Amino acid sequence: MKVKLIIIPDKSSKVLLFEKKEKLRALDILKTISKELGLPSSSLVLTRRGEVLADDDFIYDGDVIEVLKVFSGG
Amino acid sequence: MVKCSLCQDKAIVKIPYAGLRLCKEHFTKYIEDRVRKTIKRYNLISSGMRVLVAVSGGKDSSTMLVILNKLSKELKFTLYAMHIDLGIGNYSVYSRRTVEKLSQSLNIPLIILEVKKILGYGIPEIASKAKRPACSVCGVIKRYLINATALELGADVVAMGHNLDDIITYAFKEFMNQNLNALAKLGPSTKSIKDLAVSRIRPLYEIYERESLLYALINNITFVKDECPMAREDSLDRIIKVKYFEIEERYPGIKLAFVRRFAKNIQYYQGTEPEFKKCKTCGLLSSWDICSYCRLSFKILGKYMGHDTRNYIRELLKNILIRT
Repeated sequence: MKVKLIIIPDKSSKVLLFEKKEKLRALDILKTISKELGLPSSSLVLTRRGEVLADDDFIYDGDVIEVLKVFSGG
Repeated sequence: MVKCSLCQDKAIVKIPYAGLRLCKEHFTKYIEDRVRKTIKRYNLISSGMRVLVAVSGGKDSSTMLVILNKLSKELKFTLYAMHIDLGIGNYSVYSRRTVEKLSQSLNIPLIILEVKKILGYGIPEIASKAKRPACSVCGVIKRYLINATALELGADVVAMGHNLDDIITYAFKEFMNQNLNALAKLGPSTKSIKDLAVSRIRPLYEIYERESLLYALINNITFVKDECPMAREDSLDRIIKVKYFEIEERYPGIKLAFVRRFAKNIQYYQGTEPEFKKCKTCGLLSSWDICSYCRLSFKILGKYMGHDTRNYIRELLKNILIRT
């Protein structure tokens, strides 16, 4: 399973690969990306096509997820 | 599907310190109620007041403008918005456009001040000429322009978009520097000084930065997601904020408890009342004979610009107030 993450406001992107998975919960993606970025998970918000993702929302192969850093900007 | 604590709809947001999971509608209402309570608890706005809202286009000031607009009819106050175009390339162009669209959609009169028109240069050039960090000159200029505009407009208060996380960060920094007078200015409001300074209020004082972002996203408020190009990624503010996010994860509610107790104890930080002076050139609040803005403008232009700036704002407001 491949998920593309766009980090905002950095405008960088990461691709996460999950073996033997067809879907994952948003909370799992959040925990993974927060470790990668070295930031507390509460400082990140995940959205998909502008919609806020709840912890128990499913993320599927090929999804593009925006990862917003809470403390950026004004 | 995890349900909202208050209805059968899907929960989108978790509020750990309150033990709540909320749907979009109840989260929106929850935040608006919290802002209403903050306004009432700290007497920030009274009926009949003229409130000037400083809007950068970022998530906090945009969220604040939307919520204050909703509360303005209920609490009977009038709103004006102001935006400062800092002259930082495309970032400022996009910020300004975002604020214009937002205030137009809310039917709120908008005052736009362009630093380039007033001082001849944008923030990057001013910082370079003054040989000072961009954030430092930006702070001096924004504070001056906001205060000057509020005075010329006859505003009773200026609403700033500082959130709970901002307050904690600034408070910790000032405490580390043992700058107790600065701590005293970090309450939900500052005092007004007749003809010199308009009171500043912080309606988002008890709103977590995360909540402010979620409110903007859930309510489809268009805001500037880009970071200011002049901001530093490794700033002390950023480092402190991240640490406090970690602390809150371990001890939910600790940040909210801090700001409430801090607001109660703010009087103890006041110490000796600093001497307020009137700038000899522009007549506004100053800690010295000449205010920081006038001194900065003299350094870059060879001229004290406070007086001219106030005249410029006065003329600008004449046109806006006629139109509204």
